[in-house]
Amino acid sequence: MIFNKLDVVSTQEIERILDTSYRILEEVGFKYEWDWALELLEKRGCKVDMAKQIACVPRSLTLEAVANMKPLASPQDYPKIFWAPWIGMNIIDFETKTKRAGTLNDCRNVINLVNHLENISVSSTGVVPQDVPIEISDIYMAELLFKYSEKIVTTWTYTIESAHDLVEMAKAVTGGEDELRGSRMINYLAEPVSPLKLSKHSLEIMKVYGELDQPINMGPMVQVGTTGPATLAGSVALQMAENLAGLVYLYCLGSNSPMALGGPMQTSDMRTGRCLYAAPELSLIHLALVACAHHLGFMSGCTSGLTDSNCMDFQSGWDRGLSMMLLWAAGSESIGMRGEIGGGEGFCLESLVVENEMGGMLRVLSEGILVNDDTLALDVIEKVGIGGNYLMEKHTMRHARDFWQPGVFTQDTFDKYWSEPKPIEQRARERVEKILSENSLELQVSEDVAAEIDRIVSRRVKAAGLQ
Amino acid sequence: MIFRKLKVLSDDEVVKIVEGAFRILRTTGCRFEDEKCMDELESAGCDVDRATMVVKFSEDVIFDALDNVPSVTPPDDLPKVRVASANKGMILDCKTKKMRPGTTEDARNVIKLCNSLDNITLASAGIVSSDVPVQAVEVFNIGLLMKYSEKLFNQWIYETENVPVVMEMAEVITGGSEELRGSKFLSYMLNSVSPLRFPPKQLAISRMYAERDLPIAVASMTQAGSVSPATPAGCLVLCAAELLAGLVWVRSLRTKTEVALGALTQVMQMRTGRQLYASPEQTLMFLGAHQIIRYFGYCSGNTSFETDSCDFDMQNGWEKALSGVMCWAAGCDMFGQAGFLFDGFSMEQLVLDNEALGMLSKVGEGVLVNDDTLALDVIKSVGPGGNFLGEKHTMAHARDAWRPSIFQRVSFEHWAKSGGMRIIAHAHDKVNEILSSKELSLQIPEDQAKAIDEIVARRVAAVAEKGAC
Repeated sequence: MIFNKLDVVSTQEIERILDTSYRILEEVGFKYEWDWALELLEKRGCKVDMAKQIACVPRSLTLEAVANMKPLASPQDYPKIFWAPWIGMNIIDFETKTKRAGTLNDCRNVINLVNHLENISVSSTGVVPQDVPIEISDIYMAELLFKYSEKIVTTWTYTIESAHDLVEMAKAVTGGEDELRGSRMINYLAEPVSPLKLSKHSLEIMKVYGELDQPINMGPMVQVGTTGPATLAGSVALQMAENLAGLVYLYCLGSNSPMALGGPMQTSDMRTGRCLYAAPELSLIHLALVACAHHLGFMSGCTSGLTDSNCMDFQSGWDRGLSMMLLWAAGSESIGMRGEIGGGEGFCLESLVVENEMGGMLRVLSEGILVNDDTLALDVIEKVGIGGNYLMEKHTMRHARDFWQPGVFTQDTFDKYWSEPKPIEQRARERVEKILSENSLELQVSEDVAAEIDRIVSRRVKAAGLQ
Repeated sequence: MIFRKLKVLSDDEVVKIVEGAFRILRTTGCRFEDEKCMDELESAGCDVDRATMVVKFSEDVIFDALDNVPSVTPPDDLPKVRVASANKGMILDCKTKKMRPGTTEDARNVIKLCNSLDNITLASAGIVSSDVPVQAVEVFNIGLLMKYSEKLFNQWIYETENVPVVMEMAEVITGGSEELRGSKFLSYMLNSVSPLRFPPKQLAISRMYAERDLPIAVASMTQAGSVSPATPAGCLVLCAAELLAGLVWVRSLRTKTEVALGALTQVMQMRTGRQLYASPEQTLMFLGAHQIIRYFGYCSGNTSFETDSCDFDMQNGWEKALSGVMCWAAGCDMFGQAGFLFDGFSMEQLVLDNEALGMLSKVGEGVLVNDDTLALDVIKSVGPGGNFLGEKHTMAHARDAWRPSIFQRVSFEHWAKSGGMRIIAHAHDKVNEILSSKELSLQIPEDQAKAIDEIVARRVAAVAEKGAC
């Protein structure tokens, strides 16, 4: 049990950041690039400039939305582990040091792996398949996940047409609209375009999912110094303003969608413009963001545990560990996403396996220190006394298997390890191959439902005039 | 600014563990394997059995120690990054991946590295030089550190005979016996031998330090499942009992020695009996021990920031973060041993650790919240859909961010094309760069250095002569 979480901003500072966010929405406004949405917001008291598509949101409306929208889960002071695979465009191959475009087969492999990795709690396809028409790849990703994942899924929706298709698939899986409503079948990540814009298609998709009460995670992506101010506090204020803009829109829609606030903020290397996936400032802004979301009563969803390293070296472990540990210590509900490598260059199956192992260690930390008469072991300490040992005690035997055991991590001696060195990539590769060779993807839905999903996919392919 | 730190035990749980420790000290006691301690502890009010050297402690005696033995510095709840360079016997040859005995040249190189690495707080000589008589090696290393280290340093002392020699050297630097008294120039770590023992040599050395009012770190080295219970809570009971017993003994000396408390808690691999350096249970125990030490009102330290990996790989970086970042988030005052790699020392690991700690130090600066950093005017000026690149505010803050020294931020293509090197290659280059570009320069006047050299030479000769006899 964790009793105190890490805070890097005071309550007064959180309130000051949020006050700035409210002022941004009220004084600068937010660009909703869909007239229908602007008309809706105008009716609820926003000052709207239709020509510029900007709505200035009064603080009172923002506060009303915050008070009335439902959080996806209540924030709590102890960390949980909520990991999903990252979704990238490429697969990284360690042996050849190459990257290649993701395929449907890669997606199947990722789903298969996640089904068997005990510490990855949410499934995704890991990559966008590019051996199918890219414009409808979201449909193929959803198809595979709905059919084969044993876990809750997260995926992308590119267009309003895809949103309707995903809803139809989800209805087939759950049994109908009533069953879908209130379920967590579709987790949509609504991504404003920083600074301060939501595109028409995002607003349309939010409407479709919002009207079915599906969970919506706000995922603005303010980048410090480029699409946000170069100072951390200002970028966090902007990020929260964009979160709140989505929240207000859904509130005005009358949606009962449970929501999470946060999003993957970014920093960049100011010399090169390269977007960074690991930096101390990145951890700080995510810690502040978690604090702001929790202050408003919402669970937070941030990315962490990513790396700028292109291989599975010390930097890769430290980059991931630094941001994950800090968010865990701050009580962030989500500390995703797993399998990324090289500053977003690609998805790596081997890394996913190693990160699953990391999740196992964090799980032990989450369990905390159990304090009771048995674990305090006073009688045993008195019995063993001074200078004795506990090896033969029944108490030791009983608890000998309580300890975390590594899978791909090594606890060998130095000489043993280097007599036949097997790098971590190789150990992870063997685990990947073992899982994939011993397990085939099995349908998690009935044959009828699978056929219905296939029918929806075929219809979409045909409608789009694609093969 | 950090406003709230991580805790893994409730206040009630801390009290339960401490009550357990009090009971153990009352019923079982602790063995102090030194005759003089019997007198000292008896005069402090303890129940002493001279035949078995077992001492039992009443609550009053413990509270008296807690009330009267000062902490090294007042405990501070804001996380800091304080990490010492490790002290090990062997050193890794990065190219052959073999551990070899250290040499005096290695010791000089480690000191040079420590001088150049911003985030290593305490310097060390890194290794035990194999080309110096073993009983004099700690004097030799301290001589080097006193002459060349730009930072405070740490060095284990195993030989009682070396303590007066080290004191003499310290007096040369500080100006005399009175100047050395009560300073923080030298300190010593008194380790318990679990369960519930303090060995004679360590007690004798500690007494010599305490008599000069030099700081002492009392540390407990429990190991779950072998020399302490297999449950983390039971380990913490034993750890707390050993720390309190050591504290009472320091109190019995009636000196002005300041104390820090440390948890060198370990976990044993239950299948093989191997000592583990990084496990989640160990991290939990570090965090729990820190809370208990804070409850006692003392500065805390531990041996976090270590790894079981034998390679400079993802496991290594992750395990260092697991315990190091958590202990930082909990506000531990001192953690870790930088440069540590599987019971040996590695200069490349020291450089990697320094880089990692630089990131953590930056996190410690927190998020500055004021009118300038909130940047409302800039956000208004840019408006929806704009960008901040051309703003004066961006220019003014463009250099605020942490910049890596060796960590890589290049594209996959660039990385693969330039050989696909792992970070260890960059760390190795950095070691060579520092060693070839920097000279060890004296940090003390030449006459003091000469005096130090004479004292070291005398000790080395004495040891050699004894060995020859």
